[in-house]
Amino acid sequence: MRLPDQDDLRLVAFLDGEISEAEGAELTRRLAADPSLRQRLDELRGVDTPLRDAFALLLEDAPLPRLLACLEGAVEPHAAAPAKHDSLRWAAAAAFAVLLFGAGFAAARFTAAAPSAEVASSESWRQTVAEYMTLYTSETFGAAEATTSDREFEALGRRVGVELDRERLSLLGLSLRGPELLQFHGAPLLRIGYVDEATPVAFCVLRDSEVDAPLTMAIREGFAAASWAKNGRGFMIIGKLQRDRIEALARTLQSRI
Amino acid sequence: MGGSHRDEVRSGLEAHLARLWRYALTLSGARDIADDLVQATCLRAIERAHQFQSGSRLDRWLFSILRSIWFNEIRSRRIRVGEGTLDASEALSFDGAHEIETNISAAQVLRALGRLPKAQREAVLLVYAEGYTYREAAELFGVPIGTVMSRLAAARLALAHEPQQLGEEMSEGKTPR
Repeated sequence: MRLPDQDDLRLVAFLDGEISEAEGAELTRRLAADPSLRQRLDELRGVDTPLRDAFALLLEDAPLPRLLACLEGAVEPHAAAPAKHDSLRWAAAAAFAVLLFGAGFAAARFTAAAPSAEVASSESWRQTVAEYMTLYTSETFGAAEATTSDREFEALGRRVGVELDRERLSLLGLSLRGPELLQFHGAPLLRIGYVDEATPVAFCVLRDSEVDAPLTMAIREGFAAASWAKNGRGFMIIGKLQRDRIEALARTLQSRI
Repeated sequence: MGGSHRDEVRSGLEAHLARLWRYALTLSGARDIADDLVQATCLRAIERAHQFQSGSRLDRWLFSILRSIWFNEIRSRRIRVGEGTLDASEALSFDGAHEIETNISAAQVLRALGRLPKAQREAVLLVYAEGYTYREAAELFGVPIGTVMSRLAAARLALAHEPQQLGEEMSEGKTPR
């Protein structure tokens, strides 16, 4: 690899519009007379488009939900953690999980200069949850069946404005794992983890969500997802299971909650 | 007054998060460090919101904060604990989920960028992706303009000669995903 010489420096400055008028005129004259210099210019210029594309691609690759969560955390350091007086075990577990997973659910998908108080759209929180699902393994929600008590589930349910207990949440064939209380644009978001053999499945409830909507199925980030909304609460169950299975699980939950 | 500065900085951070992360990744060469670096930048910028001069460029202010955290705090700390940094070419390329057929050449360029010395990589990002003038970049780096110029020329030369190498890589069976 050769090092740049004075001509390379001039050519690059010329391409970048950073050359003085006099030097530019001189270089233009030399370029007209010297094919090998023109070839060097073309060679150096050839980098422009791929470089621009590459940097654009890198921008798209930024983990925005995670970064937005970092920002939320910086603005309101207490926002992502449950209230201090909650001494229930889940509070510590949730706080730990929030630390561990970068308070991911606290994030919205990036929209330029979106006001923070903006109510999360029915689409954006679901998409964010789906993105986080891509990071999860069967161990993410805890290694064993949840020992969360009815009382604890009730308390969590109240935070998102629904009645919950173990019976309502038990789903045939799935192992119930730890709950996690998160927030999305300031609205409480509860995630109940399940595991089907080695597949994580998440059931989420967002308070202050949206207008009532019937159950609809979608594929999000490669996961089957069932969504509905009732009494201003948004619901979604998502996991890498057969679409029909997710739909059936959703109908069960919908009838109970 | 303090509140309005804070709001301005906050919404500026939100609007520029992806660009800050790209810069952080370019400096650190590792995704996890880039995340930490953006987080630290958010905290510091909010903390110092009162120092931001309304009317000046918020993105440039945020970039300079990020850079100073990287050079003064994170990098030195990581070197001290002996972690070093990852091979940048790894971090600057893409995982399967993001690599799109049509952008294979861009992904190759990213890998090539990852092989450049970090000072060149940073200059390339700031001047070619972020629109810094040579003078602005020189001021930020604390070096003469001529140094910026030679970093850019060296980087362009290296990238211009990259395709042969990429061709070999691919014929060895490392087909793009």
